[in-house]
Amino acid sequence: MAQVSFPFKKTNKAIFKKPASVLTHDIIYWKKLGLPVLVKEFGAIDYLDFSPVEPYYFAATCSVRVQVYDPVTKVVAKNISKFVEAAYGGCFRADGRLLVAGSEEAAVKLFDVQSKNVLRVFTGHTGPVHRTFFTKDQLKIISYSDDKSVGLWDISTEERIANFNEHTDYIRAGAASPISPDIILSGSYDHTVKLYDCRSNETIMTVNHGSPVESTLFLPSGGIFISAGGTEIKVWDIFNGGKLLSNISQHHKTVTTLRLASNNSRLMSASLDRHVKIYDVSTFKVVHNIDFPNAILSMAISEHDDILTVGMIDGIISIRKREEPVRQSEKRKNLLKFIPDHTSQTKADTVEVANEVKINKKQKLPDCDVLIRKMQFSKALTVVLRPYISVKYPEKTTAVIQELLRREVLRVAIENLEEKFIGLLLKFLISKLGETRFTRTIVDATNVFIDIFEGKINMFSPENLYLYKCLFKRVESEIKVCKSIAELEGAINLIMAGAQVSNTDVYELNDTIAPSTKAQKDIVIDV
Amino acid sequence: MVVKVDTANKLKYCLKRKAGRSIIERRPIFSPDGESVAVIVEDIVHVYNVQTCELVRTLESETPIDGFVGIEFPQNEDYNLYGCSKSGLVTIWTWDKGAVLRDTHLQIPANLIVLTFDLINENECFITGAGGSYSKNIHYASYSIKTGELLCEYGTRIWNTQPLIKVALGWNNDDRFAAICNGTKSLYIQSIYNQNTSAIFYNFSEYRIVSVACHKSINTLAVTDTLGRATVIRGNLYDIRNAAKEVFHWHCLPPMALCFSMQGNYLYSGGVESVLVKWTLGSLAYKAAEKSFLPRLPGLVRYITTNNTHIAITLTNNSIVIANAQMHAVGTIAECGGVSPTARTLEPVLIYQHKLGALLMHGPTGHLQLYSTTSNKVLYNIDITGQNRIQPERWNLMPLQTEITCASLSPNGQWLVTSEYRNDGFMYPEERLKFWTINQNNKQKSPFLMNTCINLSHGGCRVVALAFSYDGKLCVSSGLDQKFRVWEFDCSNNKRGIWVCLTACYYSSGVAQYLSQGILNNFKIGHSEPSDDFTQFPYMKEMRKDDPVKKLANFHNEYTITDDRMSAGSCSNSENEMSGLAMSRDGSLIAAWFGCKLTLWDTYLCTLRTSLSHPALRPKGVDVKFGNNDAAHYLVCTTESCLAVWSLLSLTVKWLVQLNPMALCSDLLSNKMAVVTSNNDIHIFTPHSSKPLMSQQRVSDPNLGVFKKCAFGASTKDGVTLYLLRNDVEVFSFEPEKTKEGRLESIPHSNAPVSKFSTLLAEQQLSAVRRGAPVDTLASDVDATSSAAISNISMAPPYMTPPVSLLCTTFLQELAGQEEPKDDEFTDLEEKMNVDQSSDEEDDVIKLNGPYAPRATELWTPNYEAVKAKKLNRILEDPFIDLHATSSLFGI
Repeated sequence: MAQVSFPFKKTNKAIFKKPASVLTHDIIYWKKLGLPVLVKEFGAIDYLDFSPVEPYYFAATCSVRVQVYDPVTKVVAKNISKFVEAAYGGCFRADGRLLVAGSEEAAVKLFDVQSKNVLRVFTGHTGPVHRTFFTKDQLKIISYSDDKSVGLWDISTEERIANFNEHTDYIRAGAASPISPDIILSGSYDHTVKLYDCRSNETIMTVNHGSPVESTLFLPSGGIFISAGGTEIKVWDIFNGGKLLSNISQHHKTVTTLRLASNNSRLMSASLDRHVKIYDVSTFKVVHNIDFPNAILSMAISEHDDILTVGMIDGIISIRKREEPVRQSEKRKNLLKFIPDHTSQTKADTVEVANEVKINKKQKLPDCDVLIRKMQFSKALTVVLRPYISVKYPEKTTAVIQELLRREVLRVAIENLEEKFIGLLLKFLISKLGETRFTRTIVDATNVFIDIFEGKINMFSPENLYLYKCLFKRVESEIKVCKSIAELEGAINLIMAGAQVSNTDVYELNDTIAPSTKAQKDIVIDV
Repeated sequence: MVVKVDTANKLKYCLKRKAGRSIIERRPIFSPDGESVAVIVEDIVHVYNVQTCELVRTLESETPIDGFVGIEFPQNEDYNLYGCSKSGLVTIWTWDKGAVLRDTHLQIPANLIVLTFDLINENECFITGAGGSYSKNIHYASYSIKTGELLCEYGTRIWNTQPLIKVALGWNNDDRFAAICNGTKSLYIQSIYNQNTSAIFYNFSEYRIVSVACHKSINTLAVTDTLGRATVIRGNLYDIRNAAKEVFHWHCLPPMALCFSMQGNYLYSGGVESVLVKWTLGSLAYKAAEKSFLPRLPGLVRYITTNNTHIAITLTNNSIVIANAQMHAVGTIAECGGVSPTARTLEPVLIYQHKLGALLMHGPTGHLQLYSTTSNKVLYNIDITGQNRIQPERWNLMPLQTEITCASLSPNGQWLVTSEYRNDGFMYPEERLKFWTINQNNKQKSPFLMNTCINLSHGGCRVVALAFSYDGKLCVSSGLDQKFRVWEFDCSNNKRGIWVCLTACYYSSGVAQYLSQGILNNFKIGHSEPSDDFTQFPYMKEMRKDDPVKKLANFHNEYTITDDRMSAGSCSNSENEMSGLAMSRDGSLIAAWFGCKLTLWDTYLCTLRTSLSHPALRPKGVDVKFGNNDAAHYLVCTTESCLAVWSLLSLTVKWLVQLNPMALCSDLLSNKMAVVTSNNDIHIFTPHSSKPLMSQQRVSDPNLGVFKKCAFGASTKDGVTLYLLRNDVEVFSFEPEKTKEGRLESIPHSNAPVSKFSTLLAEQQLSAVRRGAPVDTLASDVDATSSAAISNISMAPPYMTPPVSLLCTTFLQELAGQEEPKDDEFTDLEEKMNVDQSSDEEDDVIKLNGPYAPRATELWTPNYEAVKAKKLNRILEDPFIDLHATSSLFGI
């Protein structure tokens, strides 16, 4: 007789449910980047850079010109085409008024963005210059050339201050330190990344990336730099003598560009495998992934993550603009992000009303609950051990095992299991031991299992004996994994502590630079 | 007894018993007409209607007594109700009027306490008793009700096994007999009129007999034993060996309750399994041995009473379920309490819900109860855990259930957070944090809906305290893992929103969760197998020390069953152990106890601001609360031996009092706070001074029970209502004394007709009759109407509304209670300054202009320099601890 007054409650399996496709903050945040606008350019897009000041124009370097785009209208605002051969690595100064670019013709040119005039021409390299940057004090320019040298140039005098010739192959990547104007970084195709001190003109540190380096980046603390090359991204600790802190291997083709986003709390990487991946800087875990139609050569993101531009190998620039600008909450800017626990949501349960008897419709209970209600525990266990349920809905099986444990009847249930189901139970224990949501209950169940069969192992069938041994091995390997995870956790905590520095420097850059004589001589007629 | 400190306050406070009295101690009876059921509640008899389960009326004795032991209607005089008290006072009421007809003192031996009372007929009764000279064996005898004389005392010695003694009176071939069982294997049968006719029946295989029942008219007797069998015996009952027996066996645990149907065709039994079984007896041959069930009752069955149409089942969760003859539950007579023995050992829950005007507290296992203080009824039992109760087994008579350890309600009443915990020492501990939102659209159905459930929110360690911010957007929970977590309501992801963890903060190394819970660290050792051979359980045949059957019989007020189980495997490290937790009114600060260190944290940055410590606060803090309103800059904290107030401006102890606080609570709408001490003293104070506003010593005898929790109720203009929860789960209210007019009905002291003339008079005069008015059954109705009235008034144009001074103050307070928390910090600052610029000046202003004078700050533009100087002066001048004043006032 079904009793409606005091209904039997279903075994709650919700707590073991997979936190299926939880919508994280990041996914929602990055999904808000709108549909891409595609712009076609001539030749592959070598480099993209956003102007750090409003209205956040971005410079796209491709073939023989540097195009400055308006991100709102998506049309070319300025066209710098004072190059004879291909231009490379157009990069804005911190005030957005100057732009420096290298070129195939081995000269580094400095432009005034507003007037498009050439202000300086730095000659001295013997090979094409692929990357150029301003130093931290914005008074010098670094250039990375295919003649295997790194050059440091003074803007005002147009002279070469320093020259580093230690690489043995093309240099295609580099970065200026965010904390010191005298420290620069270079990454080369000879697989090494070198750190120089311009005061003593010597190499401070050399690390081996393991494949040709395509891009390098400093974290804002200045103590950690990141190099990308091949399919891997590596994180290095400077203060620890170049210790490899982390190795991110999420792409399956060469990683071409690295960027920091979201107020330096996210790392972005673009690759020839057509993906842009976004990592949490504190954990270096992928938090989001954006797909593009072709291999990506360059990528840039504006302040506040408003516009994401990606340059592809076929000369197409994809511009994605955020629909609504982000409101940054000031109060939690520097908050160390903790990962929230598994937060599951369940539908509201019915609530028993004290003085009212609800006559609701007869609800059919699942088989296992009916059997538990009838105290046929062994049968209930066999029902949920059937492969269909235990593979497809392991949370059901675990919930029933937990309920039996609570009632202290799991022993009885296991003792009465048939040989076949003992095998199934062993298989279930082996396969689910490592899943965090189940581990606690599985360990409890395994304890009971071992208590029962301790002395009777020899009576098992060969298959079950084999499974039992597997379980044994599984436990051992699980312990190993746990140990290494604990070690890793400790290591990552160190990085997290290092990554919490803000960088907001203000530069007084009110200098007006007149074109030098060399620049005035350098006349390129636009075709 | 009352020590009045504040002479200006003319209110006299008194303690009232509010709810939670035991209605399950004794067997209830149906009235002869079957319309109502009479239930003994200590020294009163409550009469409930069977259909509605509402309290209809109460019957009281003329002289104060110490509790009834039994009530009964005699068979041939069923218009009178007979009741007997523990001291042997028999009271007879007329049923239709409820008037006391007669009192008779039975001439029982000195110091004897009556255990059972059964009527033989309208003139004679049979009682058993113990105490006085009868300590080892019980006294059982028949007495005359008319004169109170001893008629016959019987000789066979029966061992006194207090809660297990049960008596049933039956017929054996026109002879009355009494069947007595005392939880041993023997059943004593004693003829009532013939002192020498008696027999002892030893149960088969020596299983202990736990219960006995006799039919009212036929020669039938039934017993149950520890094996779970019910045996029905017919024939000559003085020679049971040769009588006909019928054995029914479905129970596997001792059935504590047994009852025949009126006609004797059915037998009802129930017990520890919480299942009522209805057996068909052999006399109905065509459906012999048929049985039907009423399973999953919310508590263990203590008594069963039947009449022709209904069954009343008394359950250990302090409720009586009324079922119809088809074994369908039709209603529940519910009373507060009924908390399981495990939950009794935990910190109790008592929260006043302003919206519903109800108290939220522990209910039966896995439930919280909402008790309306206006209609004095249990409104809801809210199922929090959503789990079936774990069935007891022979090897595990009292299994550990998942219990609610902690609960908190947000000040705006919007959110409820609960924590449940189960740790049996073998399995990994289970721990769940659940957030519930108030159910606004459908008030009748269920008051709370679950929003978020977080499994293992503190890594499997017990949650010890929960607190909400004033606006209910943030919640903090502290656990035995020595961390507290900040939870935030996040509705960015979906419409409904969920609670997510913002951060976990810890004061020590943060690895305490692994140290505090042995189970997470140690190897597990398989525990001994529960034996399949049930005959091995000693409780079935012998009575030993700590007899489990005795404990089951006394389940509803047992304390010793599972004391240590909830803390199994945990090794405490009191150095940094967490206890109380609080959030400031504006939500910017969190105060948390870590051992003897009171720490202050920034809510948004989640960083430690400062930690406060004082030698007097050692060894361990208990509770902490922020002041409200103008005392917002004070932090009130308690330890086991003192109450201290910190000033947050100077970070010094403002004052400190040595007492033993049991509970601390603060009023949401005023700056008042209350503290209850271990000898039941109540002090109501404000954090401003150590001089209590009101203080009353020993409001009830600490030997009877200690108040463990208190909560402010809806306060009126000048008085406050304080609800107190005693450790036996009885709820008291501490409120201003009311005049007699306030009472619902005045109970006439004597209902007996005085003279012939008085019988001629009409009982009620037409002029005195009050017009019937519908009674508000649910407090929510009151709430609905009041909010409608408020909106009515606030919508009306100003020239239509009465002047504000005429509006009653409670109405204004109602309005004030709904004010939104101020969110900008400036107002807060101003408030603090307002306090700083000294209360004595302000007092003068108020005295000059009366209560409606504008506040000083509104007219006065702040002079920051002056305020600063004054503040500094004050900090310098104020003594850190005002021990002189405090000790004298608190009488220490």
